[in-house]
Amino acid sequence: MIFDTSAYLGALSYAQPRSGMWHLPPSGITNAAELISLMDRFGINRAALGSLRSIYYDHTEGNREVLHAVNQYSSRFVGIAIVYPHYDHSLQEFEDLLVKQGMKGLQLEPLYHNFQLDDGTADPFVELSIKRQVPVFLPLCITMNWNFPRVEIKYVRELIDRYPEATYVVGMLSYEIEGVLRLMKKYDNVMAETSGLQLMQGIERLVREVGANRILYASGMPIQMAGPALAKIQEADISEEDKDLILAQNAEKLLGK
Amino acid sequence: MLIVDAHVHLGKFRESRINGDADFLMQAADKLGIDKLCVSSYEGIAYDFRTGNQDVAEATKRFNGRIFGYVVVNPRFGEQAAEEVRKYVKVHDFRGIKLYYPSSGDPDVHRIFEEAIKLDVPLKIHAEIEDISQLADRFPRATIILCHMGGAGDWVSGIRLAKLRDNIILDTTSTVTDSGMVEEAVDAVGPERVVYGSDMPLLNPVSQLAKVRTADIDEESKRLILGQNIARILKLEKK
Repeated sequence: MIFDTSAYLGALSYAQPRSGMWHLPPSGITNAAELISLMDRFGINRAALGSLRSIYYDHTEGNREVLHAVNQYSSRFVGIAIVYPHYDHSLQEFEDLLVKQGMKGLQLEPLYHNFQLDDGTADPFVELSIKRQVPVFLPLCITMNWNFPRVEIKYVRELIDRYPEATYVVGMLSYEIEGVLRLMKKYDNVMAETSGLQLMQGIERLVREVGANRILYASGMPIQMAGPALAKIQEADISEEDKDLILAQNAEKLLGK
Repeated sequence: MLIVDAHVHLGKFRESRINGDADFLMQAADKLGIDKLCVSSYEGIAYDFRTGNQDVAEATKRFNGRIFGYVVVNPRFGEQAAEEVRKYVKVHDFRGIKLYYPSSGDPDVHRIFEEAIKLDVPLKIHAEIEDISQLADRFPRATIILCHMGGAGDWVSGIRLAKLRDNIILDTTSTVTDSGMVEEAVDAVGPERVVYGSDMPLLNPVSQLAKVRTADIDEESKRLILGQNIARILKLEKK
């Protein structure tokens, strides 16, 4: 069983002010059926799905696309809500996505949604995530491409310090591993996903320092490649039990079987 | 299949907390089935190229035929840097020159390029695309191995540049694993001008290998990228 905790519907199709002009993925994998084919190629059973349209353009349309994919492939996808937080209706919309539509988490995108994690904008959404017992995903970037902006770990720390009772998944960490590990040692309810971690022995270090039960396999597909993301877990120098936890069991516990 | 890692460092990395000495690198290579390592000194890049190059020379002697050296220099050392290049290529049989962020307008950099052409060795360069473009234009007889396909971000521009300049070789290693990197490189310049590298012991050689192995390209292209190309470019069979 393999459960990818970071997958996207859509594409990076247009120029972005702080990251340049991109067209990712160039392979044309932008809809649910193509994503399922990619998952099948690599033996990935399930994926937590967010929408790039929600990040870059219109969250209502983006979340609707995700819900459609989840309904179409209910055994393969779980939906993660990504909401532009500034509209009057955004909080109610988020609650409906959780309660009425069954989405399983919140992903915050401060870099693209015009807020900082320490300015209070995200607070009602985090409070609702605590109330509804869903995790808050905090990816530090969209892709491990240094042309794209990154969330500074000090803002992540500030949010978690204010809401230590929420469950967090810090994503796309790379050289931020030192700061993320400090956070994870301070708070038991902070987890890390592996989609950005390219450091040699990085997976082994996370497991050694905080335990495999707080590490989640993720790829960031289809923007990022699925194959290397899987290989670094499957060939890591850790026990088979730890691999099973990282590849699926932790995600099932967090997002449902 | 011959596997040659075109981008390896000898030295300590604080980011990965690994002391990548020669024994560590060879153990990693053996575990992953990598036949040969092409190595530059990280100490040479980050602090002192002279002591760094000495360490690599020792490693090439200890693991003769499995570890090959790139000589690292800071071109701003002028004639000292040029002499370092000559010494390590001629006396210690290093197979290339490693430069980190050389400026394209710098006469000291031009001097190192001229040495590379005279010695018939490639330059392995981590730099801004603009600098690479100008250097490739100015020195069409130099072979440039473009680390990370052009920094660690705009690989699309790196590939497009390589398509225009046939003296540029694309090195796949990077923290970037954007979908389509390897496929686009092969489409643009052909599989003969793409080489596998890992950047270990900073980056994970497992995922860097998987970038090529799981790419949507044919098996012959993978064979070239994973070893044959860099063996040809660095003349690894020559003793």
